[in-house]
Amino acid sequence: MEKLENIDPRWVYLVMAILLTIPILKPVGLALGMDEGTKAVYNWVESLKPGDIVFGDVAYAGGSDAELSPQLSAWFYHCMKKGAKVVMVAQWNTGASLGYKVCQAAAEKAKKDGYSAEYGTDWVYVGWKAGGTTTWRQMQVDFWNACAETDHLGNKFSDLPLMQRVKQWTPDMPVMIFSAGSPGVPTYTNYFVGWPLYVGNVAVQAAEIVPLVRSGQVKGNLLGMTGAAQYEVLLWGGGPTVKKMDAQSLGHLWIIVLIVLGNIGYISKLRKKG
Amino acid sequence: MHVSTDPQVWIMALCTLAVYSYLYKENPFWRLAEYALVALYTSYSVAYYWHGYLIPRIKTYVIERHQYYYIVFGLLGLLYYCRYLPGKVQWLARYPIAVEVGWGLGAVIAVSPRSPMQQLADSMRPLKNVNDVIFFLLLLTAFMYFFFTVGKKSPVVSVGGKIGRLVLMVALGTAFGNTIQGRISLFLQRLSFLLADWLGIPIG
Repeated sequence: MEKLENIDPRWVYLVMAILLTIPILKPVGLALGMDEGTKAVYNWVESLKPGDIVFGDVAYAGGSDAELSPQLSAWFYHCMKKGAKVVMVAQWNTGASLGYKVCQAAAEKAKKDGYSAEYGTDWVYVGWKAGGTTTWRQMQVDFWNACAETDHLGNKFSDLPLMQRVKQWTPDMPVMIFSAGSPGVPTYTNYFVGWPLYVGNVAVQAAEIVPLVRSGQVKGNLLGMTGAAQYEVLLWGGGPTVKKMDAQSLGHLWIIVLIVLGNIGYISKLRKKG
Repeated sequence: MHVSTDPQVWIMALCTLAVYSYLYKENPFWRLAEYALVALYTSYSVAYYWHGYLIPRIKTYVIERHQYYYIVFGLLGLLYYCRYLPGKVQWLARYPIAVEVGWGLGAVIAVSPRSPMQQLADSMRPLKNVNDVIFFLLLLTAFMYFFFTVGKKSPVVSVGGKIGRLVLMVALGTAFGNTIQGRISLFLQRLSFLLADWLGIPIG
């Protein structure tokens, strides 16, 4: 029994890999709950009127691609569907190009489905700008100046019709922050008081974000891959991320089994010692 | 099953396998993937900064609008590199640090208390229902755990502190569960890529 406390991690990984592969190939269709935070984000986008300007912030990089890109993709598509105009900024330089590709793919999908998603008119990807919170603070006062008047692709703001309406980042332009750490949400809770804030965060950050939601500083949040799957259910009735949730559940089940086994091994060792 | 013929997909797949090979044991393939990632991230950041920030600013503000004070602060920033020069001029690197720290401290002190204070205010709710009462009592016990000065001398603080420790453990357990979710998400994405994009096996 004491050996249970010292299982070779390689066996743990192997069983985990097998357990995750089976439902990926053949999903079981386990039930998926719906968080209030996800509903809040969805209802906010649903309430947008054509022409409303919203901001999105890519505050993540490749390491959080699995959790946050599906969220960004679904949210961005939803905005295009509602006719909202989206301006994307990026607090993480290492994720700026990744975020652009996700938005571009979502815009293509929206176009195929018959929605307007033209670059420059319906959305602009401003991307990463150096200077951290100073630059973000400056965006409120003079957005063009803070961004050197160029977008992620090197286009001049003066050539982009949407940017003619975004000379300042005012509180009537809410922001959805896709955050994997720092810099991330604190930039907005500290410097964007009065702006409606929504967050898509990695699961690890849940304990940090939930108090902000409860205190009203953040209006709604998507939590990791689960949040993306829930958003896909609300938006499309299902989606690529939803199919992965069975594997998530089995993975967690395996971890629970390991915790129980480890504790049995620990207690056995204690009893033997007397 | 149609295995991809795209070289880019093959490179991605082999890099993924090289990274996961670390789970078996440390090996040269893992090392290669690790070094390649660090080098790529660094070079990408430098190139992105150069083309996305520095050049547009010089073109727009210095050349087109003749706002030459950008040059002054640019030169101040360059003083950072004095650290790599002979000892006599290394002290010059302190000037950009002084400006940055001075500004940074002022900005942080000006706005930082706001966010935690809002959460603190939210913790003091009117006790209108059972949930709020439970929340308030558990909040108190969590605080008691950190009363190191009174400690075991007071039975209230002692018992409360023990309950508080359990409360903290529940919070940490939640964080652990969410961390597992995040890690599984990463693996699922790579697994989907290997099965569908690389090997061409239909999934889901």
